[in-house]
Amino acid sequence: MARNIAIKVARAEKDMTQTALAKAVGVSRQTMNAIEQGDYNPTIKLCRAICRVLGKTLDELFWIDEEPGSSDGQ
Amino acid sequence: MGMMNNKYFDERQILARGKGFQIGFLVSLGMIIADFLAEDVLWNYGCISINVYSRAMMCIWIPILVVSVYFILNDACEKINETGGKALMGMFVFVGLFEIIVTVVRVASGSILFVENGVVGDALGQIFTGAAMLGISVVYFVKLALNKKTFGDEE
Repeated sequence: MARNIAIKVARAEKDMTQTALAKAVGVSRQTMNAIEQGDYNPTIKLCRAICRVLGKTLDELFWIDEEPGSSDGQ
Repeated sequence: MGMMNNKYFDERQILARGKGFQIGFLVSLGMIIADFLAEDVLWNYGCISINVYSRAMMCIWIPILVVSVYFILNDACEKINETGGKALMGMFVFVGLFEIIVTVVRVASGSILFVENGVVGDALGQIFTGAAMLGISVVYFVKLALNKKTFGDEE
């Protein structure tokens, strides 16, 4: 899975550390890091919690642009 | 979400633990099969045999070791907001070392025999138990140090 840079950017806009965001949504720091690195695919519940904390929509943080001829990132 | 005082595993940890237990179950089955095969096939040809206690310790501790290491490597061994891991692993180091040292000293002094009448005795089981406990705690502390290095620079 591709890295999720949108979350990192949104986090920076809010001046939040990874630890702070993880605590706010109720997951471990390692899980939040895995989400940002693209190593873990969160459930919709967790996605919504992250969006709520960062003040963004699901599309803004988790939409994957599929380029012609490429895989969907999995 | 965001329950600061509750201790719980998050969704990724639950998935990792489920996979870990699955692996442990398969390893347990494998150990039982290996034990039967070793007893029936190998030892019928006059090879050295291992007593029941030591075989039981190996059948118990190998799956525990595999599952524990899997949990530790996937950061799924401690709940969120839980802080008792270091103390428990410290105890594992102490008990593991104690088990190994006492057994080695007893074998070296001759108070117990490692092999008696072609059968490996309890000493192997005790050393194996100590080694497994040490192994788990070593993996834990190494992972702790690696996590500190990886996540130390907060970004």
